[in-house]
Amino acid sequence: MIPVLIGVSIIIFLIFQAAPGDALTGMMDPKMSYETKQKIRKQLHLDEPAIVQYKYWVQNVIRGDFGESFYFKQPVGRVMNTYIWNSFYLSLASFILSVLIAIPIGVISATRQYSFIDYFFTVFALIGISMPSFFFGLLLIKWFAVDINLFPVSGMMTPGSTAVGFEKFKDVLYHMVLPLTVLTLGSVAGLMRYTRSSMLEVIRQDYIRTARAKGLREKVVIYKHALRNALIPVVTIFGMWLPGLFSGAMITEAIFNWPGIGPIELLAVNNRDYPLLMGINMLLAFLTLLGNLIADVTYAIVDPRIRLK
Amino acid sequence: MGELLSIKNLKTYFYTEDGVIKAVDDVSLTIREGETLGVVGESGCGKSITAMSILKLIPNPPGKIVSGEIIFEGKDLTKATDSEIRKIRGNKISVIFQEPMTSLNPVFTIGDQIIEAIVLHQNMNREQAREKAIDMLKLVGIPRANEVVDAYPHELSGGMRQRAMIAMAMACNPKLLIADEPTTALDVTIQAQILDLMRELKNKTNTSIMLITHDLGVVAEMADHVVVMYAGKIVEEADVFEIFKNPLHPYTIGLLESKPILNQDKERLNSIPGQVPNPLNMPEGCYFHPRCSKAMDICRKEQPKLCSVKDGHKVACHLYKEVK
Repeated sequence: MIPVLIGVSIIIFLIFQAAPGDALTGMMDPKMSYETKQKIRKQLHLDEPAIVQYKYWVQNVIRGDFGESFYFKQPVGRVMNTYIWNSFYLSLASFILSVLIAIPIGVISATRQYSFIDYFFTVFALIGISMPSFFFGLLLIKWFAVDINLFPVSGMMTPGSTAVGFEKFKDVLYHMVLPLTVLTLGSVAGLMRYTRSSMLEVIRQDYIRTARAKGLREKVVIYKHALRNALIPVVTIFGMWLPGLFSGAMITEAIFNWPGIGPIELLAVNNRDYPLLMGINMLLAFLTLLGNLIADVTYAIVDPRIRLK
Repeated sequence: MGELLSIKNLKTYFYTEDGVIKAVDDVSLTIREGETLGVVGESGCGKSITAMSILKLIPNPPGKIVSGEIIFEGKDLTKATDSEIRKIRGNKISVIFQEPMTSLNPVFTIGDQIIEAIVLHQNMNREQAREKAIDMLKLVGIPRANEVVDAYPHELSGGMRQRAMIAMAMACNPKLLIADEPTTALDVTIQAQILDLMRELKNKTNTSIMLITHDLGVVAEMADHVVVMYAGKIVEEADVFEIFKNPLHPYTIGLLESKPILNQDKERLNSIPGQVPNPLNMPEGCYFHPRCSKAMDICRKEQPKLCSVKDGHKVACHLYKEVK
């Protein structure tokens, strides 16, 4: 994991080295004289070769210092900390909801393959996968926020609200409903199809027949013997979702004006805020690796055949 | 010996997109208490489907028991409700399947899978059931039974898994054990051990066995009574000595001739020419006539009925006349 992380850091650093402009073009007053700029460049070690600059950057990163964001004029760590948790709450809620909805639907679809209900969910999944989130988001805003005024148009809390504790939680939940629906529709569709195909494969296995021949109820056969096996490939993809929980949903968050990390990434790109972008990318790379590790560990837990002696 | 199970005119059909497959077509047979019935035939002749019909384990759709009766302890199983049949499955009638590699659930321990059946059918809690599971594993000759009970299927060899399957099947002292090619997937020495084990258990518990196989050697060793099936129908039925000494149906004769005999200097084994007919497009008349060396005109037109030619020896062939 560590060598991969070093490799990733080199690549990220090189990409941003190759990007046009440097810290000064994003940070300084354009009217500054050339001599002053050169002086500041020297102070910031920007006149030195890339490898030396990489050394400085890595030294700081190891200490948890990603530098200062040009745009926010704040340490990158603090900027990320401000927004990333908002994204995390939204994504986590969507993840939990998707799992709770998609897995039962997938099982029902598989056990009643080619029935009306299976076709119904298949069409639903197709819609869920093909529906662009910006369009579906706008539709929901039009229907539920503007037309019947049931949910707020945007934001994460009622403006000016000073609620704390449970009241605050309720307010956030209320604002979350629409963006959550958009995010969940897409992931339910995929996860449900995945569960369905995995389940279909399992219910044809010999040991399912054995379970039936034992006299077990159909419910036990499906939800204990079959589902336990069908979930092995499904559970392992959960680990891969870890970076997704923190990366934010750029489009959905932008449409609902959700103060997550997604729109901040967009802002950082547009403003050449390289330290912030490098910080976010490093974090996601780290989470991806961690997610892989979690996936491997989960695999060993759910599948006894993988367990090491 | 009283009758334990009798199947009368069973028809199990599969309704596929290409047409109806008559997997089991008018089969009648009887299993007596404590008896081993061998059901012999090539792959696809309907022997497994007959056995699976008894416990209603036919995937439906496409399969369906169209007509017939399966009388077990005075009850017609074809009319039993789901919950009635569940009380019989694994309890009074249990099954051992062909593939011990894939017939055990890979994510549960051997013990869990045996305990599950015991708790379901017998008045025991989990600890008692665990003791019983260990006893069963010992009974089927598994060494270190109290460790194996916590092992996962992949940690055991094929022979051990099949022993575990037998332990699971015998755990509730079934009246009837259906063994669907129990030794086909095992190598020869293990085969012999498993057969010995089954015979030993049968003698101890007086369980009847329905032994489905295409291996005539297994039949000779195990069965009391033999039924030969071809293309969904019974073509010959007799006790085991009679079948081997005095086979009547050309198909049975063909099967016996295609058995290798030790110390015989032969380049090739005899085989029955041709192939099993396409189940969607059965020949007219006797299903076997295209492959039969003794086919006559009548065989192409009329299907022979299963009739008694001797005491306890039935055959479905135009060559033989019914004796009353």
